[in-house]
Amino acid sequence: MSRVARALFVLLLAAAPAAAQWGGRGWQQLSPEEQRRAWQNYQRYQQLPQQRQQLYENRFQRFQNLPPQEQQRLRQNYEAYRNQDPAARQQFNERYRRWKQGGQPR
Amino acid sequence: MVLAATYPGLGSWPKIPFSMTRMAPPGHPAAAVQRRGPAASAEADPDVRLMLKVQEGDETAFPELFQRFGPRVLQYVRRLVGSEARAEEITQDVFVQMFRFRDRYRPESKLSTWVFTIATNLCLNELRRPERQLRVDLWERRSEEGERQEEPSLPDPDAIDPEQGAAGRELARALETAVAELPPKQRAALLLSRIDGMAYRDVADALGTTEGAIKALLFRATHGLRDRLRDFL
Amino acid sequence: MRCHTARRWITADLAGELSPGRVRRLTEHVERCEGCRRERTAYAALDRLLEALPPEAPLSARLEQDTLRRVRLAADDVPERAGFWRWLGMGAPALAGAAVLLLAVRAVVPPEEPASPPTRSKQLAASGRSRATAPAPATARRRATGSVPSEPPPELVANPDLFVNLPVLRNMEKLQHYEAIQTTTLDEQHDGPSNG
Repeated sequence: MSRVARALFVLLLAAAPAAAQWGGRGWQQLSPEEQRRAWQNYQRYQQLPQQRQQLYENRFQRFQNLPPQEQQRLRQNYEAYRNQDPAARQQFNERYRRWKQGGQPR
Repeated sequence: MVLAATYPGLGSWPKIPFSMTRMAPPGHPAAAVQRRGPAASAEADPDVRLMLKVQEGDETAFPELFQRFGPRVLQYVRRLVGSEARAEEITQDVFVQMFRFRDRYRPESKLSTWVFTIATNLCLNELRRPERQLRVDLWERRSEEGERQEEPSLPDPDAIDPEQGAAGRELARALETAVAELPPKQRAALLLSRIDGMAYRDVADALGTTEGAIKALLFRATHGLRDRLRDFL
Repeated sequence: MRCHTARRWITADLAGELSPGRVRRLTEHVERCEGCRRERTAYAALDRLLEALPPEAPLSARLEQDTLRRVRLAADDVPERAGFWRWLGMGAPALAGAAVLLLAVRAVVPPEEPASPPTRSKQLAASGRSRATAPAPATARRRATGSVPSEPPPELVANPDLFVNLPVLRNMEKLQHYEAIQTTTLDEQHDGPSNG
């Protein structure tokens, strides 16, 4: 390896821990189903405006800093939310708007 | 198998009258409602034919649908919501919902009524958001010549073309402002009936109410505009 | 007829909703009453003004593209070209720097590099190499049928959990307060008193 390449490679290794810290699990650690979902969500993410992408990235950082059991609680709530029928989901969203009107603590 | 994660939805489920959906099984009272005539004559309507193509999976049909209805929907949403930026987002939401719920459209109903029902629901949801403040900014970017009279003169009421002089533009601007200041449901009823030319029955469907209620809304809206434009008319 | 009644009938008459008998009575009143005649003129002018308002707004190309793109996503249609350069502008400076370095390393290091212990950086380098040698992001052009490309984009590989959890992130507030929202009561009326 040339001297230049070696220097660049060292710089790359220095950046890698930050990337790993940001990313959490590695791609190979995902199950096939998770990889499929991630791929589909990635495609949708690519279509979003830059501002919205940044918003989700910021939220992801907050999410990563939550305790594992809290992360799991949110995932379970999402599954419950997603499995609602449209009428129930509509009612939930109306309750959500009402809840926000009530000035609930965020 | 866990389904791929999809976005749960853009907002409230559109409150489309039961008779307008495909959900009514044969023999159900709603299915028996033939408000627009037999299906055969309904499908003679080019808009309905286009929507049927969308339902059948014709990929060229939806872009054409967007071209056909997009300008009206955008204008309606802009005036109802009062925000240029949000209007474009909500217009997108309207068409995405049209596509997502395409199988719920029944050809016996006018397509325009269905489209504006979705648009109205999304707009009224937007206006109900607690942090929302109505911003009347529709004219800010559109003043072209920038000439404003020091004192607006009373224009000739028959000179209704906004391009006829500064007074006409002033009046048109005042009218848009007055419309924007109406309560949301009055504004929606007025826009649909007076500007989009929809029949009272169709406006009632779009707002999920009765013809009588629409007439009452229009009465209040018209008198409200008259009061606000007293200096001009 | 009293003016109060006449003024109520004026708008109905202009909308074509008044019975012939009432039209006749209104006409007689308006002929005699200057105030109501002025009101009728004003309402007629208002009608013409409203009808003259443009019912359509011009569609921008951007609005059309954004809308149809979202509709295509809703149909799980073929995805658009992934924004490779947008990925470089992503919020994590380390990742952006790593991407640039990957390309630089690829330009310098020959393909037959001696084997080295597999590291996360190697994974990034491997996927970066494929992207560097194929200028067109071919993976992004694949049909979104759910099948993952054999060489997923580096951005996806670097942050898989971001994309696995994207729906959770999108609904984060709702999910954090899910139980409280579920128990929130709904009023009969949400609208304000002046809502028509």
